[in-house]
Amino acid sequence: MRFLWLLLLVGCGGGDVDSKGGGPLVETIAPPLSVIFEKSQKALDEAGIDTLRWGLTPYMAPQELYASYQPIAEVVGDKMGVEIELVMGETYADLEGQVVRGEVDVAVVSPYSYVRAKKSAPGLRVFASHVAKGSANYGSYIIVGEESELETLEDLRGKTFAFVDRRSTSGYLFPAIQMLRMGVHPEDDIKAEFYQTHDRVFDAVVEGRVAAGATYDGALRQGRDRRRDGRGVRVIAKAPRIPHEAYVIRQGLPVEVADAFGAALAGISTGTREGRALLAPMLRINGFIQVEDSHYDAVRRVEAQAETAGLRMEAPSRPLPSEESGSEQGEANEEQTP
Amino acid sequence: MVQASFGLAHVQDEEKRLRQEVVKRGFQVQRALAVPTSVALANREIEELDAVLWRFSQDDGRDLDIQSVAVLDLGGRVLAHTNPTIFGFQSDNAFFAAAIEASGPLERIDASGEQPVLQLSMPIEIGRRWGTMTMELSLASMDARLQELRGRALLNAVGVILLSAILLYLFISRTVLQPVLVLSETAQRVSNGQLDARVPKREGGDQIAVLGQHFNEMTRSLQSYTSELEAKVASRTEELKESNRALARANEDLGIAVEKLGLLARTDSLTGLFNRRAFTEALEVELRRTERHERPFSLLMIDVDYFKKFNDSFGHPEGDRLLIELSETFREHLRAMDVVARYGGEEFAVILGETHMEDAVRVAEKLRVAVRNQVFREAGEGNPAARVTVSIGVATYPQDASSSSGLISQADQALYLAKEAGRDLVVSCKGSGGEE
Repeated sequence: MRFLWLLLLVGCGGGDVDSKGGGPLVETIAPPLSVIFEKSQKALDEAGIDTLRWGLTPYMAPQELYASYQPIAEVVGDKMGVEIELVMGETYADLEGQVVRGEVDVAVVSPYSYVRAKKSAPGLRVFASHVAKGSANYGSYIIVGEESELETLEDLRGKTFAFVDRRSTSGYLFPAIQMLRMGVHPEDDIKAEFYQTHDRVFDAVVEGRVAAGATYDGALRQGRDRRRDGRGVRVIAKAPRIPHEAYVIRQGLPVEVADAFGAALAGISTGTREGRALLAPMLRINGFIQVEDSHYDAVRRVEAQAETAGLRMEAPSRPLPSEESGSEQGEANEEQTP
Repeated sequence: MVQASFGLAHVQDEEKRLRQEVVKRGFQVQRALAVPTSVALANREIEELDAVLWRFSQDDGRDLDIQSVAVLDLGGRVLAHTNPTIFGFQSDNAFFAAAIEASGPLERIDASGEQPVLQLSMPIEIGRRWGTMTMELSLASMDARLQELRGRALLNAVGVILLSAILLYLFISRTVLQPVLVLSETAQRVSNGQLDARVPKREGGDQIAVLGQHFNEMTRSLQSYTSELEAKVASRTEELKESNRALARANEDLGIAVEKLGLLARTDSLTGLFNRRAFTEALEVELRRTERHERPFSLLMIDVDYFKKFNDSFGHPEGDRLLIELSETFREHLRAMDVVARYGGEEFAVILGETHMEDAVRVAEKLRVAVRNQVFREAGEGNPAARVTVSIGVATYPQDASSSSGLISQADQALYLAKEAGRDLVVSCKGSGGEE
């Protein structure tokens, strides 16, 4: 399957994939795409499913997420011959719960959420992830305001700190563990606040409402592009890189559906004109790759460190009342990576 | 040997070449990375730097033996590193400090670790300087390649040296050892006396061949010298033998001569009888013998009658012949032990050993008669002068005298009496008488 996907990434032209992408090599390795989609169709028919619910993690403002994923959902739905309905989770934890309970058929979840959900619902299957900026993983950064005098993590003691959500991998888990490694406890030594989305964290840091914050690389670029006042941030620490989000299919859904969904995604990449048009709202995503559960083992190791350190991962990370206005800045959100 | 050193030199060249190759490759990669990193630096996009280095480290970096790449800002802070958690000031890294100070590429070997590491740095300059890029390259694969080359070169060298040694041995054995052995054996044979032993002739004019020639010349000289010497010794020996023989002959001659000389001194040259001196000695000997054995001996003094007349008639040569014939007649009628001597002129003396007077007179008578009956042929039958007579005086020791001179005197006295009495007579001493 993996070979097939890679070939599709390079050679397939989007719409008419069946005839163009299906060379002899593809046929010997895997069934032709038409067969994959037919099998999926059949499985869905047998299960009596005519609409797939696709859940999204609210790491950005819901309308932005919708604008980014809707065109892709339409292309995928066309290929699979099924309706796809986008579902916005209210929070990271909310979507995670829906995935575990099988309330959504397909979902894009943060790596940490996937690791958690997989423990609750072992039948959950990850079938894809994406490549952004040419990389299958991304960075997590601890930032301060450009003019800040803070230079190291040590300087953060006693200061206010903006995280995204306790379920956020780059907005909480990885930077928190990085702090621990450097001897600063993310709950006891700083005043942690949860800003729900990455853009809010960025703005809180730029505007000096917090001394520092944690976010992912996409939010840095997005923030720079979005802000017109020229104010920026400065990186003072980095966490280890993180595999991109997990594209999962719920427990109980036929495996043929996952195969077809992955094959449909694989046909979309910045390598083609159609792909570039589809991915334009999510400019930094280049395409999709097939992954397996072990792709997220690095996250599991960090989670184990968090548990050992006694971080309160189950504690609520609800939006701050004072941050209700944060959505105002969501107008230019382009990037789709938490 | 030459090839061996070429091999090792080749390894050194190869080491230099490989090192240059790695350095060149490192700088090429840095130049390639400088473009996206300079943009990210200019835009202050750390996440972009990370993405660039991460992509690089996942793909090309590992294949190129690149261990790490870092991007430093102008103040020397690490903004991005292929190990994502390395960030900020790295006060323990001396190379970073040197790299930001340098205005051009920098190249250094860090041998502090287990494996030597090549450190390269170059300014990130697109329009202006934005920062510095550093890189660490493992030299392990280069070292492995060199090790392999060294091993091969060493193997080659050992092979070449071994082969050279074998060839050299064969060459020396053929050109030196073998000929020297032959030379030694030949010398041994020569020293054992086999002078005709020769070293076989060799092709070529090398030192050994020349030595062999000289050896043969020497042996040849030795042989000819030895045979010459032997000939000389043989000839000298022959000469000596000849000398000895001559000496022996001379000795013999000398003995004969001496004998002859003694005989001559004691012999009358005309008649061959004892001369007077020999007679005197013989008389003394006989005298002592008579004293020892107490046996008497007798002495006859014989004188030819009218010998002067005979000489006058026939001449002296005939006279001499007469004396010779008389002496022969005496010898014929006497014993071998009796001594006959020519006493002087025509006078003879006879010593009759162990003979007393009477026998002596009888012997004297026999002699007188024999002479009287003898015809001397020179005179002829008819010539009365051809008849000769003798007068004989006889004396006996010790009854007639007590000394030799006394005995001679007594015999002479008796002879005188015979002459007086008419000649052709025998007279004994003191009138012991005789007959006509």
